[in-house]
This record gives sequence, structure tokens and C-alpha cells, in this order.
Amino acid sequence: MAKAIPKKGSRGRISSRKSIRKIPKGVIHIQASFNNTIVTVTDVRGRVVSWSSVGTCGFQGTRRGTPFAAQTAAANAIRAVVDQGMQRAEVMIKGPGLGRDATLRAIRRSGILLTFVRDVTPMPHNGCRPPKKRRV
Amino acid sequence: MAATTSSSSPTSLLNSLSSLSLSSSPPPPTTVSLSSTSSSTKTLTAITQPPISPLIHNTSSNIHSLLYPSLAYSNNLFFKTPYNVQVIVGPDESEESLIGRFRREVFRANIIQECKRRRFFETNQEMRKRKIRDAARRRSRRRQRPVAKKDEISRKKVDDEPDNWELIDVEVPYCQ
Repeated sequence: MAKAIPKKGSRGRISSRKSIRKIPKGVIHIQASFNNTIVTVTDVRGRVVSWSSVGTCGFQGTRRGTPFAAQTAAANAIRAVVDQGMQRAEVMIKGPGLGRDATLRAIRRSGILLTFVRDVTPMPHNGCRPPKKRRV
Repeated sequence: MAATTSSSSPTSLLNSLSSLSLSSSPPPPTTVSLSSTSSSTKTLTAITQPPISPLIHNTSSNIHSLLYPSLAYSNNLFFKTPYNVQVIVGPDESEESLIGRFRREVFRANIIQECKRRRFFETNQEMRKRKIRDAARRRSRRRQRPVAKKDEISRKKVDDEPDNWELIDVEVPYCQ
């Protein structure tokens, strides 16, 4: 990514002391690939507040791609942010994967007000050549 | 490619746009002039009618892309980040309806299919095969639907015709 995101500290907690700021509105980015789901909560400008992924929730291997795991990752990420006082959020979903709907469900149940749900999967206009086919 | 979809009325879209522009901090100077929010709000107030219409209906987008060609990719222009599909969540919307609506929009935009296609390189031969398959599927779908309707109509006509073969009990004069 363009900005250097300091991902220090334990699972999803904010690293620096002074950035415990009250953010009433934020953006939840969900990257749902086939093998993993990463949930990142940022403010409207894009500065990361907290993040969580299926791997940090303790799942490994094939179970990382499941929707249940995506649900727990989303719940984890939002728990850390709801304490900070976030009420409204936008959701940006990227990538194909089973975590798309499951995370939406978890976000809805957590009680955060959703304004938009957007799909921002990057689509090349026939750009780079993708890797060759797998002969499995 | 990127399908322009949005599910809201024009007033709520304008409101949401204005709220977005107000809430977001001033755009960084490096963004392209087309996508900065301040210019977009100016263009919105100047041309109130055209920008709203291409964002609403899928079916009328063809006409509007002819009439207002520069607004064909308005999804990419009017918001800071381009998106493929946007679903505006109304107040008190149930979880199921929201997820159903989102999935339908994504399906209409063919996003997951495109992603799977672009994961690995597809040779010219494979591309030709895929196109033939898609064309055959589209043709078979177009032929199935009108034929089904005709069957229903013909069946209904047969059922509704009353039979006049029953004997009618009426007093006929001069008969015993």
C-alpha cells in the first residue's frame, strides 16, 4: 500500500499512546480472498485504527477461508473499535471469497450503523498478465 | 467491466453525496481534478439533472450513456475511491434484505465471475471456448422464456371454455 501502516502491538490494538481518538464515523475495509479475510478499520481519511484477520484469530490452513472464521475476525476488529465510540461506518469489500457476506452479517449484528456498502474489487482494464494456469 | 449501479432515489443520493463531502476532510492536492469532492459538488449543483440519472437505473443507462457520454463512468468520478457496486443502507433494514440486495447487485455486475476469470491466464483458445459457451447460454435463455409464456396462455384457454353438453331442465310447452 502507499501509506506505511504500523502494524505493531497485539491483535488489533492501537500502537501509539496519543492516538486514542474518538472517531464517530469510520470505514471498514474487508479484503476477502479465497484463503483469508482481513478486516481493517480506518477513519474516513484512511488512517488505520485497528485491524484483525482470520490468522490472528487463531485459525490456520484451510479453515482460514471459511465464512465462520471471517465472522469471528470481523467481530474481533469491531469490538476494539466500538469501545472507542464509533457509531457509523462505511463498508468497502474487496476480492472474491466466502468472507464477503459473513463479515457483513457480523458487522450488522454488532450494532454499528452502516451508511454504504461498497464493492471495491480492483478490476484491470486488461492490464498485467496473470500467472499461468495451475495443472493440479 | 465496471457496472454503474446504485439503489436509491435521487434526493437521498444527493443527501448522501453532500454528507460525504462534508464529513470527509479536504481532499489531498494530489488527487485528479475529476475525482476531488469540491469540484464534484460544484458540477452537481451546476448540472442537477444529468449526473443523477445514470447512477440510478441499469436499464436506462444505455440511453444516458448516449446522451451524456462523459458521465458513463460517473461512479469513478463522483467519489474519491472508485467502486463497482454501491448499496445504500436505509434505516431499519433487516440483515437478510441488506445481504440479499448486495449479493444481487454484485451478481448483476459479474464481479466474482470476472475475478475468477482473471486469476489465471487464459489462452486465446480458452477465451474463444468461453465466449461460445456464454453466447450459447444467453441464446438458450432468450429462447426459453417466451416459449414458456405461450404454454401458460394456451393451457388457460382450454380450461375456461365451458361445456354446453349438459341437459337443461326447463319447462317446454306442448310437451309431456
